[in-house]
This record gives sequence, structure tokens and C-alpha cells, in this order.
Amino acid sequence: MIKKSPYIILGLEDNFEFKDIKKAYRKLIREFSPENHPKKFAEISDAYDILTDEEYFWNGTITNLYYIDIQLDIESNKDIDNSRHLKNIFEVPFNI
Amino acid sequence: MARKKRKKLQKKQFLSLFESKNYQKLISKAKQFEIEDMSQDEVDNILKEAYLNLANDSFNIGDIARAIRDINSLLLIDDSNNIKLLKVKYLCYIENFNDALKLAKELMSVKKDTKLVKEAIFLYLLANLYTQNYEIDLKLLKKIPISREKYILGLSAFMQDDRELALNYFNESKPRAKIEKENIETIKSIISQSTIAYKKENIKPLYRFLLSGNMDNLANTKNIGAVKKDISAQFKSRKNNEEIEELLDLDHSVSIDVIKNNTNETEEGRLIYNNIILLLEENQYNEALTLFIQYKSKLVKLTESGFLLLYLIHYIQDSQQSTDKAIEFISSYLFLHNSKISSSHIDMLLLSAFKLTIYPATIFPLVKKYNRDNFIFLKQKLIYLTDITPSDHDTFNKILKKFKISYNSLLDEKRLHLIFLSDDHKNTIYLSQHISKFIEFLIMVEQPHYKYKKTLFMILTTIASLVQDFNFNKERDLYMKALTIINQYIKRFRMNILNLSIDLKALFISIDREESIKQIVDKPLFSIRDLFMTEGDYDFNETEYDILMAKKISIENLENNIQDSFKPLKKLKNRIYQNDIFYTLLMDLLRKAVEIKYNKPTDIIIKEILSTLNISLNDKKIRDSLVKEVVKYAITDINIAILIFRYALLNISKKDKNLVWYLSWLDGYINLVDKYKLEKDQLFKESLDDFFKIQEKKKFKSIDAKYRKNVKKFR
Repeated sequence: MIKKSPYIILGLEDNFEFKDIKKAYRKLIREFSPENHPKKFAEISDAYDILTDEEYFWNGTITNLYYIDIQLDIESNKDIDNSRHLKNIFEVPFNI
Repeated sequence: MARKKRKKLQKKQFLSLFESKNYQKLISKAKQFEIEDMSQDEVDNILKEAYLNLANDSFNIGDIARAIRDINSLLLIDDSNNIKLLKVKYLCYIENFNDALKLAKELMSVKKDTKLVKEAIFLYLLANLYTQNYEIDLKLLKKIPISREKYILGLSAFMQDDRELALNYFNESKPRAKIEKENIETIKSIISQSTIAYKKENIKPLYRFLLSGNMDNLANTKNIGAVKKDISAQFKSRKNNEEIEELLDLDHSVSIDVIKNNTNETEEGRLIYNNIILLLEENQYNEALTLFIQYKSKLVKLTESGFLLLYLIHYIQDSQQSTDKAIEFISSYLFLHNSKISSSHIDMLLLSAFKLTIYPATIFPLVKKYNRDNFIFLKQKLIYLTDITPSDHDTFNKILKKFKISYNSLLDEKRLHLIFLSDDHKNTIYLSQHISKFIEFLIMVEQPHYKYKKTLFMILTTIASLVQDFNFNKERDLYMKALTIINQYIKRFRMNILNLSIDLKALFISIDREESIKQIVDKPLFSIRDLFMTEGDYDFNETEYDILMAKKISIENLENNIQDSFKPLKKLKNRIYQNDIFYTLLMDLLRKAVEIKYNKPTDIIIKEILSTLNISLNDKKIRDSLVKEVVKYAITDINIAILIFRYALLNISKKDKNLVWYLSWLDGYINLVDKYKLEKDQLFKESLDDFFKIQEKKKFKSIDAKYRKNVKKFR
């Protein structure tokens, strides 16, 4: 099963320490309460458990894969303008 | 000098070359040989067609230079205007527009071939445009078909960067032929950069190339090289971008080249990481592993890669490759991230490192670095049991006091180690001593955490199984030690003795019978079952065990003066018919009660035992079997046998006294008293009288022999 990286869910940047995990968790559950944001709350709790609970960690590790969010600017779907080559290379649409 | 005569070639051979389309050879033969039975004109006609086909073939595959050479050769044989027109076309394709214009102009003045002239005009007008001469001779333009006229105007507008006007003209150019229509549509799509469903098989190679990057049959001209490079790069880049987007969306994995072509260094590691995740999801384990090892130096910087490594561990183990690199990774990863991850995570990584090597000692420095000395203890001391000191027992004690999954996992390795050891040292003193030492470790544990219960009992099961491979008499101490530790842990963990594994139950029976009840069964050497299960094949049934346990606990209760001592017998109450050992149970319990001077009369004890088991002496099966067992038991303890008889005889109801079984009981009793020279008290006399009285009255045939014997003995 592919899940989002628990570090990303908890907003943990590169230079955090283990003790920051709990702080991040508490901050997020204040923002996303179970009553108003049940799915998000579950996701945050799940992430916290994975990182801190021994049994949860051991049981989850070999069945779950965690992906990373990546922001990348892609020149996507840029139209290829090859029409200029029609000017330089001879071709004829008719049978001659 | 006379001209050398050319050799001859048969007509048949010459024509067969033509029919098989072997035109090059045909032409070569025509130059070398004189063709028999063919005039020069006939030969020339064949050659014309050969050259034409060759030129056409070359043109179709894009080799225009070759096509022109063939046309030039053809013109030597046939300089007809149609061939010249063909040359004009090829000259345009090869971008030799000056020569094309010259020849086209020449053809435009041909008389009486309107079609040829129109084609020549069309090519002439086109060639001018391609030389950037956008002044169109309108008179000439009007001479060509309207579809071509509009095309020329459209192309002219396009070349002068008026796309809108060009498209308008192309819209008005409506050739009749389907393929020409499709070509025009394709040009419009290229110019307007609109999406077109590319299904058109027969469109011109250049249009297909501009639309899709497909280079098949593209004319090989001097400008085409740079164009190919540019367009291929554009399409490749677009494809790469599309694939990267699919990777970002986690649709599917991509090739590593796509990642390397697209991204900067910072993102590369993260993209490779996600790509590996996708490969694993797609079950491409080998590819995932290869990438992981190849790019481990980038991946190690990501905290998430610690999870990934753990996921990949058993694939690394299975592949038996890259284990060293994986261990390096673990070491680097811990160095970078140890302050970020949980203690469990560190544990698991270190245990994984152990799994990757057959030399655990090589991992010890790493383990020590992260203060997991207990891992070393469990991996080394507990496994090999050499140089044991009292402080080792203390260490083990402390380890088992606190529960950690990592400790549990390493503890289980001891179980596996015992199994492997038994394969190599079956029934040897070495094994017996090793097991004995290990039991001592277990005995010294004061308070094992309850969460170790399952693992510890699996270890005890393994011990029980291995011990029963030894001869009981030769290794009695080992058996008793195993029994001690098992009892100790049953008590400690409050195990229900009826829920123990087969191997443990069997050990109790083996000790009770004073011989191993384990049967030797042919098993494959390396079955998974051998590794993970120690369940042997034993010669006993569950009821025998249950009776044994019920007796054991009842005796313990008697010794400890626990109220309702025989309560454990309740579980047997519906099963006593299954096993004759029940009778021995009854008498053993009575015997124990008498031995410890249990503070109840023996009659009450017997009554209590029988009522707990929910049986009565009126039960036919009991009546018939018990007397035999009591007589047998007399050898062990005559007093107990007599007590049972006395109880039975004094509690039989009057209406049952005239029956055969009662006479059997009387016979059994009086002969026991006589045999063991016990006091012939009032009960004896009454029993003897009853025996004779009833038999003389009832004359039971089955009792007759006993009667005559007793008459001889007692009258």
C-alpha cells in the first residue's frame, strides 16, 4: 500500500529532531480536530503512530510504502511548433 | 583492333532478374552482357522500367540522391519529358531548386501535353517559393488546377508568416483524392498547432515527421540533419515531460533516463525515491533494488529512505547480492538521521543489518555505536553460551523484564539456533549440555514481561521437542530440567495446561512413562516446517495428557491443602470412558490423599472423586473394568486396592447384589485379602458368605469356575 510520507504529513522539514514529532503532531491536531476534519485527523494520527509507536511501526513497515510530495516545474504539454520547417524542406501534399 | 565481343546472357535469365525485381543486378548484367534473343530496344525498355522502379524505390525510402542518379541513367536511355518531369520533382526534394527551375521552365514550353505542362508549372511555382521568391506569376497560376492554385497561394502566405491567410487558402484547396485531402489537413494541423488524431498511414513522410517525430522514409537532404535533431529533441523532451508528470502523479514508474534528462540535482534523489516506490508497487522488485543500490548515496539523504530500506530487506536477502552495500547504507543512514527517528526504527535497522551478513560480529561496532549492547548479548552470549558469568544472568534478567519487540525478535532467533544446532548435533552430549545451559538461563529469569510469553513458550516447545530426541534413561537430568523450567513458566504466565503445545504435553507424558514417546518420522531435511514448527509425532492421545495434568494439579492441591482439591477432574467428567488410565488416576489420587494424611475419611475422598468425575459404581462399564484395574493396582499398593473394594462393596445397593458383576467384585476382594494375608474381618466374612449364597442360588455359568476355586480355598 502506498501512503504519503508521515514526515510530510506532519510538516517535518529536513532538520528536525525526534522530539519535534510530538510538537508537530499536537499543533496539527489542534488545527484539524476529529469532529471537523475526521479524515485529516486520522491521517495525522496514523503518521504520528508510524513514527512513534513501536508496534505500529514494526507492523506497518514491511507492508507500506511512503511516497514524497515533489513540486517540480515542468514545461508540460508545451506545443511543439515544427511548422517553421515546412518553409525549408520541400514537400507537396499532392501526388506528382 | 577488333572490338572484344561481349559475352552473352540468356534472355530467360535476364527477364527473371527483372521479374524478381533485382534491378541493380539486371542493369549490371545489361552492361556486361549481350542479351540473347533480345533487340537493343527490347533491352532498353526493360532497363527503363528497371531504372524507373529503382528511382521510385529510392525516392520512397528518402534516398533522393540515389533516385536522381537512377533518373539520370534513365535519361540516357529515355530522355522523354515525363522522365524529365520526374527529375524536376527529385531536384526539388533534394533542394536543388536552381536546376529544378531550369528544367521545369524547359518543360513548361512543351506542346501538346497539357498535363505535363501543368505539373511543370506547379513545380516551377513551388520551387520559386522555396527560393524565397514570393512573386507569383498569376498567369501561370491560373493554368494549374484550383486545388493546387490555392495551395501555392497558401504556401506563399505561410512562408511570409501570414498563418491566418495561409489557412484560409488551404481550406479552399480541396483536392479530390482522399490522401491529398489528408495531407492538406495535416499541414493545417501543423501550422495551427492543433491536436490531430494521428491515424493517417499514407501521409507524406515530412508531415508525419513534423507531427509525431516518426522519421520513416524521410528524404535525406542536406538540411534534414539539423531538422531531425531539433524535432527529435522536442519530441523527446515532450515525452520526457509527460513521463515525469506521470511519475509526479504516481501513475507508474519511468526509466531512469527520463529522470536524469529532466531534473536538477536536488529533485533527482526524490524522484528516484518515488520511482522505486512505484516499481515496488508494480512488483518489479529487481529493478527497484538495482536502482536503490545504484543511487543509494542520493537516497540516503532522505529520511523516508529508512522505511524503503526496511521494505527492501528481504529482497536483498533473497538476492544475496548487494548486502554489503545495503549495510553501508544502513550505517550512513543512521549517521545522518539517528536523531530524527524512533528507537524502534534504529533497532529495526540494526537488526536488518544482522540479517544481511553471516558474520554478525561485523555489525557489532555499529550496534555499539548506538548503545544497543543488549543486541550483542542476545546475538552472541545467548546463542553460543560460552564463558557464562553471573552478570550474564543479570543481563538476561534485565532484558526480559522490559519488553521490546527487537528483543523479542532476537530471542526467537535462539529458538531457530537450537533447531539448527540439533540438525548438526542430534542426540549428542554437546547438544544436551547446550540445552541444559540455556535452561539455566531461563530458570534464573525472575520476572519476564508478559509480552514475551508467546516467544518463550515457542522456545520451550522447541526445547521439549529436542529433549525428547534423547533416551530418557541416559538423559534423565535433562528431561527433569526441561520439566522444571516448563512448570516454572506455566506458573509464571498462568498458562492453562490444557492449551500447551503438543510437544510440551508430550514431554509430560514421556516423563510420566519414563521413556520418550516421540516417534521417528521421515521428514525432508530442509522443510519450512522443520524451521518454524517443532511439532513432532508422538505416541499419545490428548485424553491421557489431560488426565495426567488433572492428576498433577489435584495432587498439588492436596499437598497445599487447597479446598475442592479435585476440581481439575471436572474437565474430564465426560471423557473417562475413553481411557483406562482413569482407574489408575482414581487410585493414584486416593493413594496421595492417604499419603499426606488428607483430613477426610477415605470413603469421603473416593466419593468426592467419583462425584467430581460424575460417575457411579452402578455404571456398567465402570463395574466391569474397575475390578480388574483394582486387582492390578494391588501390586503397587494393596491398601488402596482394598480401600476401593471396601468402598464399592459397602455402597452397592441391595437390588444389585444378585448380579454377576457383584460376584466378580466379591471374588476379587476375598482373593486379594487371602493373597496378601490381610485380616479376614467382618466384611471379608460377609463377602465370602454372600458369594457362596448368591452363586449357589443363581448358578451363574460365568462365575462357576470362580465358585469351584473358592470352594476349594475357603470351605
